[in-house]
Amino acid sequence: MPITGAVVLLPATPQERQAVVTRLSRDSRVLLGPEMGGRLAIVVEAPSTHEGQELLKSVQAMTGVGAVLPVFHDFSDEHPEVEPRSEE
Amino acid sequence: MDRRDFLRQMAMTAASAAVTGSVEAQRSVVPLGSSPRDGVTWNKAPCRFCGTGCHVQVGVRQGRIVAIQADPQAEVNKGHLCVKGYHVGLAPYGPDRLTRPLLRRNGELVPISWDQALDVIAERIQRNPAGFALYGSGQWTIPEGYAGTKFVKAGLGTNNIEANARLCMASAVTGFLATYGVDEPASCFDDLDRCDVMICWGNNPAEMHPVLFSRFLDRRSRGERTTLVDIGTRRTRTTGFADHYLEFKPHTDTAIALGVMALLVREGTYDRRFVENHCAFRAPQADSPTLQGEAIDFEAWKARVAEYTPERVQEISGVPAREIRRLAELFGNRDLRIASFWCMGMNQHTAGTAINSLVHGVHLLSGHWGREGDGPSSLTGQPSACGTVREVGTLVHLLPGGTLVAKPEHRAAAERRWNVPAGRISDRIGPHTVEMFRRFCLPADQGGDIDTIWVQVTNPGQTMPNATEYFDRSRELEGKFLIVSDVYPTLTTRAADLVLPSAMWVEKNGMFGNSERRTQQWFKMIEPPGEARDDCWQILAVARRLFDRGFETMRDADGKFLFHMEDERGREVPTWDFRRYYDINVDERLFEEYRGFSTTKHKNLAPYGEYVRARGLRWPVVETDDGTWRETRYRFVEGEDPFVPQGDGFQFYHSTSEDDRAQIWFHPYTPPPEVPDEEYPFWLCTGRVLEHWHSGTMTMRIPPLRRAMPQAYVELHRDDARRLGIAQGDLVRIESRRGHLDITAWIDGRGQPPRGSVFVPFFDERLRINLVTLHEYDPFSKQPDYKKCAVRIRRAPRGAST
Ligand code: SF4
Repeated sequence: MPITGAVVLLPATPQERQAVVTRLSRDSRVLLGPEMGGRLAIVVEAPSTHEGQELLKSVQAMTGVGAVLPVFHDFSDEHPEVEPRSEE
Repeated sequence: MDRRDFLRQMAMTAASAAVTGSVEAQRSVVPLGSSPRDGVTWNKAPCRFCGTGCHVQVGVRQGRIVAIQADPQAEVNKGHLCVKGYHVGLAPYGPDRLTRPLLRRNGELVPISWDQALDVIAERIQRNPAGFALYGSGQWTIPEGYAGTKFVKAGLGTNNIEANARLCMASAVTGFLATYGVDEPASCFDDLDRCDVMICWGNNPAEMHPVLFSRFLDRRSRGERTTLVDIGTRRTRTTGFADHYLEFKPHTDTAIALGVMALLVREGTYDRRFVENHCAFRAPQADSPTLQGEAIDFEAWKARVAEYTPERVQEISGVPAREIRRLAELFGNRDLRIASFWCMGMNQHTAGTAINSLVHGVHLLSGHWGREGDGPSSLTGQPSACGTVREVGTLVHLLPGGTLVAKPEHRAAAERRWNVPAGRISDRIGPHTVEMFRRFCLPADQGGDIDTIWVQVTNPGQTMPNATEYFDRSRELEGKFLIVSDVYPTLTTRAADLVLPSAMWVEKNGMFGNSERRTQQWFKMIEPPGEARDDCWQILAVARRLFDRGFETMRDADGKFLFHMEDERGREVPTWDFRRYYDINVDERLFEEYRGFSTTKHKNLAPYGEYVRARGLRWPVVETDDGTWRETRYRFVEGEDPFVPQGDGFQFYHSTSEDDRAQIWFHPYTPPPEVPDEEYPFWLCTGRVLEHWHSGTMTMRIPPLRRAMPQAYVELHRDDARRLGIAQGDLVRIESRRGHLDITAWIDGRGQPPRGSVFVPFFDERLRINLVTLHEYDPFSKQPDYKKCAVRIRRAPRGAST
């Protein structure tokens, strides 16, 4: 199961900021870290890189979120899938 | 604590370090070279992809990359990555790596040995050295580019070397040269942390330079007041964060810049002192204009720009006059710090040199120049477009260190440094990229004097404009031979006569130079697959094969091999034998030789060892009295740039007017070469997407990125779609005077072009939009315009497929 560390640039307004934190804290795949200066550290453990990425994308799409910036990615448990594009 | 706990802790430590920025947290992130309990060894490298040059720490276990961590000590990315960088560790592991040399026989690519491949190349070159060209890229490492330049210019005695940066950065180069007399930004990414206003001139950093954009956005999250102005031809992700969006008709950005300058003068809000002390004025000559142009005085310049009233600019560009006034007011306010950034939108433009020069001019005229957060900067798409192509000089008119083929004294200096006889370097400038491929696509008796092109680290089969005429045609001609070194099969390798498998990124030693003059270094960490080998080795091996076959100019003035290298005991190292290539650090040898060129244009570089220690250094890098090496954040600025004398404030010491002044240009607005008409009523713009890097060779083989953006599409406006009976997901035919493409419609997608305009990304080799694009180029930079041509749109005929 890949492990991802990321930083969320939180919304500037308190309500939007709270909505993002609440949403993340309710997700069992997410571990919340420190928040400082509008930035929140998180760790995501999802069954696949794909699922982890979808989760980050959905956070990115929340109102007011500036960006979700990955900082760490361990994919040693996951082997890249074979997807030769030339055959399509 | 088990392994997962340990990894979880590392991930949290890295994220916390990036959030708090605390030294303690950064220190506790796994240090380089350590082998923590799970047997992972970490080492530093710049990301393989874009010109931002983020640093990553690469975790390797048992010869395989298993983890990637943003480097918290890297000034560029401050511990962050974008989605591409986060997956960069998967880039080498696509299932279809090229692992053996392949030669086309009876129409099929069949495996051959390296020895045979080297003979094939040597024979082609020996048969017609003048007809041979080397075509590389801004993904060449610095030593690779340097080896290529020396091979062609000193070894073959021609200037037939080009790089794909011609297609993405050349107009930025000519803009810098025309304005400051020397290439590359004077300012740096630190502007993002300090500017009050960020202006994006036709670029989309939220997708193309996300880590840089987040440096700016981060300040908003912290509650700082900042203003973002997005000047573009379609709404993008960047527009979503903008305070002001100025949508202009394609090609009319020159009018916007002229309008701002006219208002600054009319309102008296320009910086009179800065202009009087540090600027001169230029305009293109009426006949046969040159990059130097002609000097004009302030009054003559003023009279020309005065024509561009806000109302006239509105008429030309479609941007409301009040928005032009607002932009001019921002520039007229000296209390603000204004940073302008741009990329392909201003460069891939038949008036690319003009708009680049004019944006510099807006900053110079308004005095928004030379303070932290206050200046103009171009961004690059490739990791070493600056470090390799522009600084090493892998272009037909350049010699290393920004020196010029056209200057006899520069040729003589290069000949001395390379220890080759006087006159070895040709004074004939070779064909630029578009011209090179045009000649490659013509029969010899019709001016097609280029008969062999060796492509390394790029994919012209996908990226040349008007690809039928400027690439495919060559494949139908007798006597044309295409050699391609790459890591994966591409449209170019599939069309090649000879394919060479290359090592990539951390499968070899390397150095890149990013968009802020930062030179970065890394060491080889994993083995390349099969028989894949370093591109630099390939060049040295071909040079040696020619030497062995008696090709005289592969010798220096003492009769030694041009790339002669010795070990510490003075014994020659046969670097052309791949088994011995890593006996010494070839990168270091080549870099130290190249470094000697860097002082002529004040692009001074530090010794190789300094880059091993640092997360990159921005040139000029000079040695201080205490023996340490100091980088430069802001050029031409007293106290920052070591070459500006005390008391001068600013000094443009490569001034083309030879009086230490920068040039403020007038370029009139000129219409584009092709505009929509009744037959072809739409504008077509092409570009990139967040998930894929350029032609998609690597990122389309990274499953999460490919899934996130599986194929190219055409964005169009909902009103146009409705009028043409096109629904979301329909197959649409896009047709220009040059070719057509059937592609899926995306209405109200990620980007939103205005009515009468469509956008197609170019990353997808199955959907080659460059069959449709135009080959016209800027007269000074020779960079083609991928951002606009006329097309028509309709639902694809029945039976068509993507
Ligand atoms: S692709 Fe560019 S922005 Fe993204 S991590 Fe790599 S260098 Fe940084």
